[in-house]
Amino acid sequence: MRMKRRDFLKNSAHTAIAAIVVRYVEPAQAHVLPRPGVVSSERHWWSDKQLYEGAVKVTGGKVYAMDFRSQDLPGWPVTERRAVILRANTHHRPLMALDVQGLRRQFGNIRIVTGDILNRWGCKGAEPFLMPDFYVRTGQSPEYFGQAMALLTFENADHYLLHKSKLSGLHDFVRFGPYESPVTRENYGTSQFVYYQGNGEEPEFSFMKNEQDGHDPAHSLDRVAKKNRVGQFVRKIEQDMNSSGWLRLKQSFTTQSVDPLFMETENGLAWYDSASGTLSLMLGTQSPHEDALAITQFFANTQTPPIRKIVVNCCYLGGGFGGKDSSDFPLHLAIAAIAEPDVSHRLVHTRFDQFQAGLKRHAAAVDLEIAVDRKGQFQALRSQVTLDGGGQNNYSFAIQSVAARNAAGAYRFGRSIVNAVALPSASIPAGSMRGFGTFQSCFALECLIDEAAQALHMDPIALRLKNCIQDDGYIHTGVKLATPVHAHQVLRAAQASRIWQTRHRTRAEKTKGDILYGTGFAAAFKTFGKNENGCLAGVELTENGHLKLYTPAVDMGNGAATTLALSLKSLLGRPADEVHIGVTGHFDALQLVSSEAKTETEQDMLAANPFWTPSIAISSAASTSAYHLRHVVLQAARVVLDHGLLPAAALYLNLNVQDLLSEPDAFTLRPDGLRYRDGRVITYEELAKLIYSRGLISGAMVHGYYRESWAQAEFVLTGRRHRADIDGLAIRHGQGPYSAIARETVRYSSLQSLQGDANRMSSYAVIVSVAVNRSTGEVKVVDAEGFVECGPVILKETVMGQMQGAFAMGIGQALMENLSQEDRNAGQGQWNLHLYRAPRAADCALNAAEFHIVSNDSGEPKGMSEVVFNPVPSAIANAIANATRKRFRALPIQPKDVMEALRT
Amino acid sequence: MKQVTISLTVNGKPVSRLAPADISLADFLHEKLNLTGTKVSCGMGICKACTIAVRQQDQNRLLRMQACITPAAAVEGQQVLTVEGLSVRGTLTTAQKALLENFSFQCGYCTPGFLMGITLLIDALLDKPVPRHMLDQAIDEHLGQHICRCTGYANYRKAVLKILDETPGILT
Repeated sequence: MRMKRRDFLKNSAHTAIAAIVVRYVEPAQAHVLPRPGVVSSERHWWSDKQLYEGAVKVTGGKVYAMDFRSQDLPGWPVTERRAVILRANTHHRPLMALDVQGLRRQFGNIRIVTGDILNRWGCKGAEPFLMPDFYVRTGQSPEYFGQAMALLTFENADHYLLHKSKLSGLHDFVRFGPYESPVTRENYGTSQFVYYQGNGEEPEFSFMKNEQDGHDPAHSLDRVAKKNRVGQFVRKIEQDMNSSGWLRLKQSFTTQSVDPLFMETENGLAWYDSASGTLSLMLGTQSPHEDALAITQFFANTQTPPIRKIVVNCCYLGGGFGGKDSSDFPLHLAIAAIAEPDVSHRLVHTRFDQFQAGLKRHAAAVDLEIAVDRKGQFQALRSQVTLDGGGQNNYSFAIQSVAARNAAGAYRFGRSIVNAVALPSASIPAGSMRGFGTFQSCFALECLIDEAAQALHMDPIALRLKNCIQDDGYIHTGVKLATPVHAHQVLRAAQASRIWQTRHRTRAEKTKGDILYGTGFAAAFKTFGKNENGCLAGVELTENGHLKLYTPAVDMGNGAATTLALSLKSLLGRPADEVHIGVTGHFDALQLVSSEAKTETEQDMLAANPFWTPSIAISSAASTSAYHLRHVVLQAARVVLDHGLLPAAALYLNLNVQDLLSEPDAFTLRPDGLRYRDGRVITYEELAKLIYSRGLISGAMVHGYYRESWAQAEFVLTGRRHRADIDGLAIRHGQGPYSAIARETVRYSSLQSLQGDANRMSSYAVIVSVAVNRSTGEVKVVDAEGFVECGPVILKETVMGQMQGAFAMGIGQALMENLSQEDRNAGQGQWNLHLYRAPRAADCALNAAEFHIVSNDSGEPKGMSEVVFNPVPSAIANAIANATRKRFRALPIQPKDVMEALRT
Repeated sequence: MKQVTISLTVNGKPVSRLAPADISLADFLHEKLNLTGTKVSCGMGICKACTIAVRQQDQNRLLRMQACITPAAAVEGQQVLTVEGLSVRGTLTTAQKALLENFSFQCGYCTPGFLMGITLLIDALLDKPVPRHMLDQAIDEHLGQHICRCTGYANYRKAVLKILDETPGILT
């Protein structure tokens, strides 16, 4: 069974009890402009011509957690402390002393919480996500660079500002002992997937079909390898490879650790109200619910004041890319608040802090071998992916698994052996970052396929076309894709493109003097969503006819608020007027309970409770907005339509509601209301008036559960049966409160599907041209074309924006960014943008690069924000190889590497 | 560190606050005036998110400053323009509208910096117009060092070209 963070917390010996409420923070305009969500005299003051929250962003209003102070927040104590974290700039050297008295002499009246104090309180980090000792205790050694040692709190902002310039000298008050050899730690997780197609249509052996033990993060490699049946097929594969005469290519690849470099560093506010036991937080986080769970766990059964309720006020994020998904930052805020109740606390990472302690992308080593027959058919793949998880597990246990599950992309390899492991180290902890492990696998695979194409004298795209999974085939884990991956579409589009068709001629023309010119290709096929997705949404019609949308999605610039709001157009004729993101507390009315079922029988028993669901809500990650969250938005809208709007329309038209339900062509929903076939238009205001005066359904909130397919349930609403792809429903009549509706029946997919992976893939192909200066080794990206297939597009501009942004990020990963430097280490606390080179506009071929959406209006929208990043670095590496005739298998590819290669 | 009174004009309003003598302009705007539109990201003046404009006394031209590394005391008595001061009585400027309509930003954290950079670019071009073939260079000089992590810059560039196209007097 794949473990999730919530499983660790539930299974822990400590039982945490706290109600968790996640609320939306409405941005505040700096000027008198219509605020998002406020009714203006013009119905549609925002349209799909801009981002929902765009106006407040361009006017410098308060949007991000960074903008808010306690004085801005109703009910919060105005007194606002300012906290700072003292972090270790070394590792495996025992902390001998922290000169608390010295710190107070230097900085005045500051409160200090040390690891010793946390230990006395009984606070423990929930393993394996966190280490038990969250702050280093006296006599202990930091396990990794940047591990926290103490939290210092200044009286207020003025006190902090007075001493700000002296904070760089904090380590003068810390004494470490001599270096100690680290104790060997267990790996964070391992995976193995063996696949043998054989001659039948179904695989002869696969993980999904044959090996349902799953992978336990605690498994050692020895135990995995010893499974007899797996071993039998491993030997069979090796035998086939040794005896076949296939072309075999085997190489080792490395990718570096990078920083997500979101522009808004982690920061927030917190306050613990001792009277009510409520801990309030204001954060920009991708995982508000998980953050609150981690806090309840940390303070459960401790000597600290009891936390009865946690309210997370969730802001729009100034970037995330996975780096704000289950970060430990909120825990520091909670510590500050619990240490001194009844005042507000603010904590802000400087960029130095963010480099030193923020979650990173895993550095990786991938040993990859592929076997191809002389006709260009892929025959076998063997991959070992080793990820450096750094000092904390965080999501490493899952990331190594996803890296393994996507190691063969959407290519047919009749035989594959994929092993993955995430290892601890003294590096800064790595976590969920755009790609979630798939980028590392993709880099190796797409570079080696390019080498195979060269060896076979084949067009690299033609080779891929020959080997892509058609439609809904099996991938190497044995998961059958639920929908076509359309790999052929993006590959053919790339093959026909301007840049690919003219690449030989362009190379000949532009290779002159010191310039070597080359063009390279790479593709990526990535699953989106998780193997299990619990999703929430709420839709309401207000009394004045406006549409309100509630969603737990957070918006980190990916346009989640805008695209989900626009989703309503397809059903209700117009987008939501008001969007509340980041909320979960609103959905308490669903009265959902969740627990883990270990067997099918147990699942059936638990499902007899009409309010039970296997999992309630997910964090904003894994590219879930476009498909999963949109699905539940439409489900909620359907309830309001069928049981609120249409009954109201029927009353107005003097019809029976069945007349409208049975003839959907008899009416259309438009931005202004419902138009009946006889030409009559009932405005949304008129419909709302009827709904509220007659007590019809004015709002619905739903829970959907996806596991290989959506759970389906039946409810009785307004005297009719309502069958839908949801498993939880609450409705309100007119102005009344929400009440949960007990489902009559429900059907969940088999638990076996939990062993699999997400079963939907999106596709992306990218071609990059580079100019390499042979006298300096500098590589400049000069042209590019990208092709994405992501199903029907809700908002073209957000899809294009993701491709453009991912392209820049990929250039940084390929050529510039690097935290893995031998002579200096970001964990020492001195890194900033003077040492870490990020791509600028001039690096991104703005005059030439083009991005295309390969149209596919059938099916459902697909998550695509990760797949459009994955192949960019390999396309660049392949382009450099085309230019220089040298292969580069380690990232980043820097001038010194190019010069060295050209010399050999 | 002693506290001093720092007086300047921000978005047309005179302000005077007691603050640490070495307080940065960014911290002064945020903590003393509750004007949080100017964003701090790197804190070293590299990313340009904290770009503001200063009109020195007796000068017509706007001067670029990075608020995170400029002491507030260094602009004592001067006129400071921040993103909050761009729109007049709630009406968006051409630049603000262009960034909105072109989906130029995603998370938007770098956007105030870009808007101030565009303001400075236009101010510079109005002072010294350039031939059309030098426009790219001018854009690069004023905006080329701004960091955006989300967008890849393409729609920022598209919007800037549109803004400049609609601004008379910037080309020779």
